[in-house]
Amino acid sequence: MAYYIVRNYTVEHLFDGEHSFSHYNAYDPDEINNSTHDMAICFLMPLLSGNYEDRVSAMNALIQALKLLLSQVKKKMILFSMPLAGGFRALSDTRLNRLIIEYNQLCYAAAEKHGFICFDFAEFARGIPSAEFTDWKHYYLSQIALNPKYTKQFTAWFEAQMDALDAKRRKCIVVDLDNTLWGGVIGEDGIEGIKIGGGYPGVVFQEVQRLLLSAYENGVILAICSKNNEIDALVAINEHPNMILKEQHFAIKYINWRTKAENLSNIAKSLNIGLDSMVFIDDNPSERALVRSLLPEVLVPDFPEKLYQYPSFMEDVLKRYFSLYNLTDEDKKKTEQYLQNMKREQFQKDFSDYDRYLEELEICLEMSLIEEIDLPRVAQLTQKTNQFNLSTKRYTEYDLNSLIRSGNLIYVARVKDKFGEYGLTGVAILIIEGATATIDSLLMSCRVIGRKVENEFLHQIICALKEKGIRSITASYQRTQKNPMVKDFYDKAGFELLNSSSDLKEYALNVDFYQKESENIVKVTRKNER
Amino acid sequence: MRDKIKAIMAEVFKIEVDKIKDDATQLDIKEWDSLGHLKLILELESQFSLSFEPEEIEEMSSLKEIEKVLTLSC
Repeated sequence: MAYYIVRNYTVEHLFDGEHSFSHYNAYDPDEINNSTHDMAICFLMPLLSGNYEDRVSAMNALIQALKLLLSQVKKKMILFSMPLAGGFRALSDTRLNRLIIEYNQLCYAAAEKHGFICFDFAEFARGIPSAEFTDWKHYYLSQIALNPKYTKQFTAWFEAQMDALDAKRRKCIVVDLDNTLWGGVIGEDGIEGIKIGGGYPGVVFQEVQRLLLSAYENGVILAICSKNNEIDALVAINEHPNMILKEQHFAIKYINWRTKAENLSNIAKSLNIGLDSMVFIDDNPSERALVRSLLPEVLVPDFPEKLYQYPSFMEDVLKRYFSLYNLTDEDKKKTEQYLQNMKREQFQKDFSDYDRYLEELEICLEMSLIEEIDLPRVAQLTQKTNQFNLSTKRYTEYDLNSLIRSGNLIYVARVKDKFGEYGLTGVAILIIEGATATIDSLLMSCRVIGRKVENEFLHQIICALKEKGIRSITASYQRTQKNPMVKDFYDKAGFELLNSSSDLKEYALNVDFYQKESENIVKVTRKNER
Repeated sequence: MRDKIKAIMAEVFKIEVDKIKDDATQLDIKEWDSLGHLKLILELESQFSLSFEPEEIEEMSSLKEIEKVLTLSC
């Protein structure tokens, strides 16, 4: 299964397979709807660094992004909830977490009422100590939010969620009795001696029974496999006043002196389920070892070392192997209808389309001629940018200096929006010969593309050249393995295609006839033009 | 050491081990792009229980350099 993954941090390493990933912070619903993937995943995180005001403003923008997706995406979509976050602030100031909670409530409500699916990533994240959540080295080098140390845990969690969605779950939990359903040994201690309820340790067994009861109520089959005299055991089950589970909760009981492996095989046969649908809980390590070796398909978790860990262990077992997205057939039908009809008035009130959403982001593009201090960053961008790079020419600072000294122009773009400030993220190198300019290089960092900034940058370059008396512009797209995303960029901008081969497309633009207008989505400022 | 690195590279890049020559660099292996590099670094850090410095990560763009950094760190 391949997904279209909407993200604002690097998550490529977390998903094995041929998936598509959104640009950072650019969530175009049309792109999701037109993608070939069956399902979309919305995996957004709050901003994890920076000052509190910026993080609040980014969080506001993320809520808008979610609303846009909820109103416009026509595919099945899995929404990840977000972990809470902190930041330096007056401690009475709870805006950021209130917004995160608002975001999560949107996810939960969309899952409950509108046929989306919510994976509770916030719950997964609670299992990670907050000081370890992010590895700052990988955060600053590669924009990775979740510490890579937790990749394996994440994958296991995600797969368990997907299994729950596909109803690939275990079906039956088989329990031993002595020191598993109650404390003590019924054959020796008698009904008065075994421990269920009251104080510790009886309370522990009662809690475990409550968990098993809720599993039963959620459709899990309960069964007993115990070495005992059946009559003693049944007396305890039916007559002990603190028993939560009653005889009728167990679909089948194998209380005898045969081996547990034999009994488990018979339970599977009688219930007509596979051994791989069963989980076996027994406090006795030698019984567990026997079952594991003879019936490897049966899942046999290790019993906790300390008795007080038993309820949390049981909850973990239930969550891991038995949790389901409990969708009834009617729920599923509703989802289908919902996806077909797009009756999402509630969200549509908020957004009519992607452009309106982009307007709200208050995207600002500042274009200027390169200055001395920009040289290292510009050289670095030409070296490293692969995807949004029309010619992929690599330059050193020295090369750039020579270009400038020969009278050519280098424009740089700085971008910011509600999600944050990205700094110098766009470069255009223009070779000037009389009234003709050649776009030698045009590139933008992948952190800012997808939000019409790239179109606006080119538009502004053309306008600036026109003001300088340039009459015609030539440009080319040179194909590499990484840059097919820009193969039609000049076509869409109104350039005329002169020559086209598999690796090279050559274009020209007559500036006098260029009439494109700014789209007014990106706010533009121009600086220091000589 | 070299064989272990090659095995990790083959797994990360999903290519045959034989295709990784002793003098392989980032330029020779198509799958070794910037995302491939990130995945390789994460896998090496995990398998050798190490944390590379950012400068080392930048340098480790050939099998030889990777081997050098690992030899110094292990």
